[in-house]
Amino acid sequence: MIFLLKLRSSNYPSVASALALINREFSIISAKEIFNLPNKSLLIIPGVGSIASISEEFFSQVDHSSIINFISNNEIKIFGICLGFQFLFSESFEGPNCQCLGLLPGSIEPVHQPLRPSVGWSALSRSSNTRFPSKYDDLLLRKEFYFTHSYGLRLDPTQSGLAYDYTPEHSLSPFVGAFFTPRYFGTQFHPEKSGVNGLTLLKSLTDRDDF
Amino acid sequence: MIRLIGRLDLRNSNHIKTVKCEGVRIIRPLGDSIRLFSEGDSELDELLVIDTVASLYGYKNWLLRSDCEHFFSPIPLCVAGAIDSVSVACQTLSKGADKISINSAAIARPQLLGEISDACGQQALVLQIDTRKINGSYHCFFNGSRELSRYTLDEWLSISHDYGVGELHVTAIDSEGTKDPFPECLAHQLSISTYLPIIISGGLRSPDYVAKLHLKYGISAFSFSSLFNVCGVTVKNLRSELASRDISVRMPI
Repeated sequence: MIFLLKLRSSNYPSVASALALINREFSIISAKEIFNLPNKSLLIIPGVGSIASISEEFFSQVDHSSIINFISNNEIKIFGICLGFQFLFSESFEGPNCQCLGLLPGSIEPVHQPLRPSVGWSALSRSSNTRFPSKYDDLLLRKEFYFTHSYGLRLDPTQSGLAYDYTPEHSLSPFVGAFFTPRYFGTQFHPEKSGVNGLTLLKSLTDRDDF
Repeated sequence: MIRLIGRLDLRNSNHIKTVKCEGVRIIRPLGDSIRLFSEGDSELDELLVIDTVASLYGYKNWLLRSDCEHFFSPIPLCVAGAIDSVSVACQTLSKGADKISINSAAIARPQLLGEISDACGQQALVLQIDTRKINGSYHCFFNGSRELSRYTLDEWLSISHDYGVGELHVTAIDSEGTKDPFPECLAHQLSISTYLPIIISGGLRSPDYVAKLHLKYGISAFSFSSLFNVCGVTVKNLRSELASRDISVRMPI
């Protein structure tokens, strides 16, 4: 079962429209309804805006330790998009006092100094921490996706997990564009706004046979 | 990577062709243009829909007037027209825009830019700048490019940095819809005046010229009206021409 998290601070209607376009059945739920999810469900967390907005709204509905325990014990898979992807990690420099899910280790940092958005299309590369072909290569490599963000996850080759990176224009450092672990994964870019390639990726990542 | 943006000037429900920012003829219904440029061979990188007379006649922009609960575009959509408050900006974004573009209301009260940036996010805020040269320097216009503001281009660029604008969409008024190319001196001035992403518009009538502005001045986003609707250049052709010059450009198909 696929569930899409509804938060004011997100573009969940666009993700919903994209899912409908690719004929995916899904349900829209609030944060507190996560506790009702069947075992091994897929939860999509979209996001647009700031980490403070998503954190405040999410944790006004649920307690951190309770939700983490539920997600872990019920083997819930989570697919984070943009701010939703950042929310999976430990912390964000955008809101040092804002609680994140912390399901994955990592800090979200500014992409540019002085701070400004990184906007536009970029292609991804498989980062150096992966040596073997992946089922995601055909979906992600040699294709461009739409990014719009001021903060991101700097690439850490020592971090376990499958990472695809990209280097924002005028940046010297690569950032993570897509990241996969067995249960938690996400994209910094917006697949629902990345045209035909984004919709193809979205279709594959929400394939019921895959989770 | 270069961004190729479709500029769709809108009057009522029609995509119109403008000359020096004034509407002159209907191209096709807006919905047809959005579909055309957001899929298949003509898929662009972004769309910008500018409601040309919403402010003038005092009504809401196209998206807020539409009956649909939420408008979906599979590529980024920026909406401009009568964005004059935080609430209108937020409503427009909630209804399906990924970005909003603002001009007149920002010139009337620049603080509005900071308020929208804080509420909606810097990445969602595009500052529309309509400019023409007067007595040797570029000045900013508003109200559909009809009225001269109190700001020179340099002054307005400086203010936009202070208020958390995410991107700039700069139209060369006297080139828009004419055979005059986007001024190179303006491209140069923009390239050295701001670190914000710049989109330029007006007088982009050939792939050669787009390539020149990118390679010589580092302009990486272009907003097209005449090129695809009057000059007979296809999106696929433009992408191929740019790629043949080793310019990084998206090839969606």
